[in-house]
Amino acid sequence: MYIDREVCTGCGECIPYCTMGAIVMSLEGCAEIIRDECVECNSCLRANVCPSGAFVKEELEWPRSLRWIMSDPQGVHPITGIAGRGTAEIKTNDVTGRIRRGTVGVAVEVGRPNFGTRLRDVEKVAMALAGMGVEFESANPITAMMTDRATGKMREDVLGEKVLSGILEFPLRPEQLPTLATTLRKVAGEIDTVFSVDLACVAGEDGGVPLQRWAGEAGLWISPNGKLNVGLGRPAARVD
Amino acid sequence: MTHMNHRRGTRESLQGDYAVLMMTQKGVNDEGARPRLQRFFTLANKWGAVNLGDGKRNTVCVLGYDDMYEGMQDHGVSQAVFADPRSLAGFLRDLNEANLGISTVVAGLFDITTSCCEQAGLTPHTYEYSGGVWGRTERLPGEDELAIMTMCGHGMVPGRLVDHLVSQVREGRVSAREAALRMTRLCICGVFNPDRAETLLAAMAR
Repeated sequence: MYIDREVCTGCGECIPYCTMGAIVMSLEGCAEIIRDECVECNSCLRANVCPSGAFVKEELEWPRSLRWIMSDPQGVHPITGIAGRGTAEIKTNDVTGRIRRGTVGVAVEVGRPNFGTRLRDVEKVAMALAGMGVEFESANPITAMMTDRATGKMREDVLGEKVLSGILEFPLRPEQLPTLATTLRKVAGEIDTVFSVDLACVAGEDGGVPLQRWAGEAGLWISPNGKLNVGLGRPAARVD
Repeated sequence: MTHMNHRRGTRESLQGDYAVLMMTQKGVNDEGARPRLQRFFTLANKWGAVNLGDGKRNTVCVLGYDDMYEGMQDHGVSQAVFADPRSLAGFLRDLNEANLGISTVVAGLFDITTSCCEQAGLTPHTYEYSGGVWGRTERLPGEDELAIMTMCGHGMVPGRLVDHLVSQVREGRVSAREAALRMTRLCICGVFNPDRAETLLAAMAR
């Protein structure tokens, strides 16, 4: 995305709408996008606040196109074929059985909330988690960019690209949660961004939520609010 | 995606915020799903959803209800937000009775959403919790801003926009409602809650 200087009137209406704060007022009195900070999310264009139509959407080539794929909610990943930055996760777990009873589905979303991240930092987190021996989810855009899933190493040509967020997904056994906590605490001090953690479990056969106990025993805080898959999907998948 | 998780705020504020999503699984139940995904909108509308969206094109605020309803595809995602537990429970009860066979996820305070499920005759299948935010958290906006920002899980509502609109409301340039709608239009999924945003903005502007 760029702003056409010939068309921009310098009103500044667009500046607060940039998700990354990448739009600034130039010395010449028109708005401009700091290219390396822009994640090509297209929110500035969708906001439709420019009175003169100065925003110009460019044809993007790889690896810059990756910014759009990972940042624009309407971007569809060419490898996974889905929009968004990860798998369907718990949303369709009642028909996929991807997260099994007795296990923990984990997602670590680097760059969220609203911070953004270089893929270099996503790789750091991936490599730290790989050190635990996790098995990254196959149908995931970040996994698709790993050159070695056993180590979490990603392809070099994407590491400098900035995106709104990148999600790492993997299953764990409950007894691995204390190691997860230690690993996350360590790598949190090594990156120049933030990450949000998601922890999921299938309800117990008694209707209970075993994750409450598992997280407590691991010293992991969990929220009083979150998501429930209410089991309406058909055909139902086995989760045991 | 985790886009409905990590909604922040006080318990009091979150009591007015329930996002719901219905989504097919490719190759399992997506063929011919369009009328069922549309039924979601009909029922959500009946129960006074404060926002609706299809997750692909845009929301009711931008497209209008008829365009959004007619534009739904087999592989679409139906999304809605409710502002109170009674509406949520009623909607879930109707959804259960409609027997649409498509996966549905509810986001909100667990004690309330599980109670609504019980009232609707539903048994929760899978739970997902936020494990918090880690890393350079000192550089995040304040909690007031985050309470609004995190209602768009794709990050389309920046903190600087929240602050800008709070100033505009405080100066009388725009109403809290209009400011809330400007942010609502940025979230193409339809899970941003304009009613809650309006309340939060008005409080921040005082």
